[in-house]
Amino acid sequence: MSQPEDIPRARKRRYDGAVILPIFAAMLILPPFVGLFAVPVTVFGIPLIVLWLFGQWLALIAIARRLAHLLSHPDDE
Amino acid sequence: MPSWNTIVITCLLYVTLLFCIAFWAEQRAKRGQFGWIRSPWVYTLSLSVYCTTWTYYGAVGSAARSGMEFVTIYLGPTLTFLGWWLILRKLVRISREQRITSVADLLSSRYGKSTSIGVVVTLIAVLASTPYIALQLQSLSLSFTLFSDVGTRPAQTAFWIASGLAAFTILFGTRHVDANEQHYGVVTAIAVEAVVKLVALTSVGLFVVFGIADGPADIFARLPDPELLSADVFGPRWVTLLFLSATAVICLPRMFQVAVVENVDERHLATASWAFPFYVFLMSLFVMPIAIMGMTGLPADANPDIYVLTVPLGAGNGGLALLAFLGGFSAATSMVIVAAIALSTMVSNHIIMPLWLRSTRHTTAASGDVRGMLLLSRRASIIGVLALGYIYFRVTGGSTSLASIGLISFLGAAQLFPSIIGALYWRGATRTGAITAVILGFGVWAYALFIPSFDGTFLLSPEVIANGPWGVELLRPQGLFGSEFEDPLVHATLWSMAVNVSALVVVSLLSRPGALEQLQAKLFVDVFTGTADRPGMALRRTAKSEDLFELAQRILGRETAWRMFTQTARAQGKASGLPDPSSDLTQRLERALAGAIGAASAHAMVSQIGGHGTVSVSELMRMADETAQIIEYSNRIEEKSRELEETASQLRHANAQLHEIAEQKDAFLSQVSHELRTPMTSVRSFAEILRDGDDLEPDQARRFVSIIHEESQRLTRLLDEILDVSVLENGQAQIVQVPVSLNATIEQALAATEPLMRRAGVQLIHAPGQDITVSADRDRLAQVLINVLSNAVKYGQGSPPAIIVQVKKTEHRVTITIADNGPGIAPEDQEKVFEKFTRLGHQTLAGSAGLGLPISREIMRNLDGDLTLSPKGPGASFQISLNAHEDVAAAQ
Repeated sequence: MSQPEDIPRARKRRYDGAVILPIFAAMLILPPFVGLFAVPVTVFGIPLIVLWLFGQWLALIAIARRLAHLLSHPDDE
Repeated sequence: MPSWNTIVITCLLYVTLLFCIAFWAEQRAKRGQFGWIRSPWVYTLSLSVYCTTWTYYGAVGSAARSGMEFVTIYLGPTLTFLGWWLILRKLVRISREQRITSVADLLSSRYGKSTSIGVVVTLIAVLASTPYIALQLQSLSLSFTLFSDVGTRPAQTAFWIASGLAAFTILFGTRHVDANEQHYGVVTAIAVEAVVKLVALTSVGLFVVFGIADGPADIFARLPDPELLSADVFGPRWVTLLFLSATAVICLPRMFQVAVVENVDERHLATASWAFPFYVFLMSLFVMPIAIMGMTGLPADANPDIYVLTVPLGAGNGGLALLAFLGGFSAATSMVIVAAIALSTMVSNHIIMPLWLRSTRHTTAASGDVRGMLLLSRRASIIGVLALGYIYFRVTGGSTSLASIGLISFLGAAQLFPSIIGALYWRGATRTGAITAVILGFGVWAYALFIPSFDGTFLLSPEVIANGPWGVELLRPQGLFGSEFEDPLVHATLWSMAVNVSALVVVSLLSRPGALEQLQAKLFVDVFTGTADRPGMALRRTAKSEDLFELAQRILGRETAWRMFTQTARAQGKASGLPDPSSDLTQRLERALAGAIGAASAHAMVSQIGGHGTVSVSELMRMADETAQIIEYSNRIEEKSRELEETASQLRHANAQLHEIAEQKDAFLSQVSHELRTPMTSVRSFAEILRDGDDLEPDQARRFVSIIHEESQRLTRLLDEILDVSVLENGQAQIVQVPVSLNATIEQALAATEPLMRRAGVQLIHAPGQDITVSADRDRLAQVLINVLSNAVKYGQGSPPAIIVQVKKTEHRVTITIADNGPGIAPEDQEKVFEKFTRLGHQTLAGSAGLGLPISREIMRNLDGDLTLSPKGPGASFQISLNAHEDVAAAQ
């Protein structure tokens, strides 16, 4: 590990992202945000809350994948 | 429906397949052909031991009872893996560097390679895991019973399952004692099981959604009770479950084993950070549809916990049911195998080995193969752990209380979480703090959640649970201190965590860590800064290389030990033979041994040979924690700034002095030029008159010439005086001190000033007494006396003017007082008279440049005397003091 001052800005941003992602995720899946769409509404027959939960879950996974790629390939931009 | 025989044969075939896969992977790893065995995908799939039967079958049951709540059990680990950069990465790095073998080893190593904390954590882990293992045995025997068309006894089934699992675990979990405790065979088999689990559950899900129902919309249209998807579920229990499942991924012994210990490459974490959440996402995707189908398509009394099996069976799809069964079988077996490995490592390393080491303390050098003992203790531990699980299942078998045991177990393991976080991030966390925290937290867990879960059949009676011990309401297990929570799990989580964290913080702050503890704390907390692994951070020991080699050989095996020692010898620049027993070698050996037998035991063994390490003062300084460094740093800064301030004030002072001196110099220069100018002007004008005046009378011309002569004499005198001042002030004057007769000198001065006095009509009052010999330069002293006397004549001007000259002799000093009866000198001017070019009252008298008194005072000071102005009136009274001659002689 290099010292913080040696870390290029772009990489520093990724490190910050890696720290913020779980915080952001926790915010999403904790009340009150998680229960925002617990209303008796269906989209294409699927309850909105189910779509909301699984949808944000999938989105988080996608972000994590992108971030993991960026973190393990430090030279890519 | 598949027949009993089909089930048994399928299981046997499946197990044989797993054996083959594990064996094949072990062989490949042995040959060094790792290939995809070490791929991030195998690592990710092996993490799926998280999904046990409790989640495989239980999630559907939970969905049928409480709607979306089951998602938390999967969202928690998702959260932990999304945050891999923060915790898991550090854990993996530390475990690699310190050769950590289990969660107990992690805490033991961090808190000073302590045996006691290892024992405590091991006991807690076994206690919290045993019910969980029992649960796996229960659901396995339950699913077997479901298919059995002949009368089978669940207990018997469970016994054979437990035995088979023990055999598999012993075979692949303890094949060798490795320096890094990685089991490629087991991990590969578990990865295969993970695929089976996923395929089975997804197949059932797809069959339900698209085979029985007509797509997702149709499934959710069948939802029997819309309340299942209401917002009620997002309450305190939701938060608690998220917290527990997020910590479980780190704290559960089996999860620590696969996620941290079995990790072969830190980069695999990056892949797992999204792939494992994706795996659990897929695992939970079809849970709700299967639950809905179970609730609507099956009889009302069907057990929701086995919907995964009964739904395909109910639809007449025997093959799918068999696949689903295999999925459940995989979930149970993988959990039990990994848990048994993890727990047996902990039991063997932290309980059996320390005991054995203690019993053979004095005979180690001569005792038999430590490796053999180690493997034996591992195998015994595996059998012991599974036997415990089986006994637990027999004792509580069939009770419904097992259903909630998953979460109870999670909370038990979560008691390690604060100490782990403290281990990674807080250097101030101490062993005493961690032990207290874990024991107290575990105590609250047992009292408030675990024991009451038996509904009054174990230790606590129903009355005690309802009313508190001895009827003390405040101590009710599920309502401590009057706190009211609907859910005992939320209640127990809050209380145990509050007690745990407070104990860790408070006790750590109150206790003092030992040297080894501080060293380990630094190595753990600063694992990424790179400064932690500097050479010289090891405790120095004295050990012979031969003894160390002997030890390494007995535990690591001849080949590994030989390789390690040769490498070290090469690194030390030795072509052959054993390396020098440097601290680097002992450190390396200790770490390698720690990989096999745990940090505390390794430390104990190396210490046994090498003696206990001592820490030098300089090392202690280096270990000194960050706070101390910051304090030291700020102290240094403070000192610096104090110094700077001092220097600045000195500079300011010097600057002011320089300023004053420069001003004096300017004044002096302007005075000098002014003084020189006056005689120069008259010389020049008279010279001009002489040059131009051809008609001057000879008398007049002579007078002018004599004026020019006088003025140039005055100029010379003035310049002499200025020179005198500068010479005297620089201390360059050649003044000799010889015995001088004072009376004679005074007579000389009076004679010299007599014409002046007579002209001014001054009456001299002087009575020469007994002659005194003083130590002085006669001419200089006379110069001073003449100067003061002529000043008295010039400025005295009393009516009639009089001058008194007195001589007084004290023991060593002689004082000459010259006083006039004039107006005197105003007090504010008394110091000014000694400044250069000062003429009081702006009177200008011919021949005076205002340098007389300054010169006189400098002379007197050079003669070790002084010239002062007595404040006593009425007229001006100057006192010239100097040493009497005897004293100088006496001093010499």
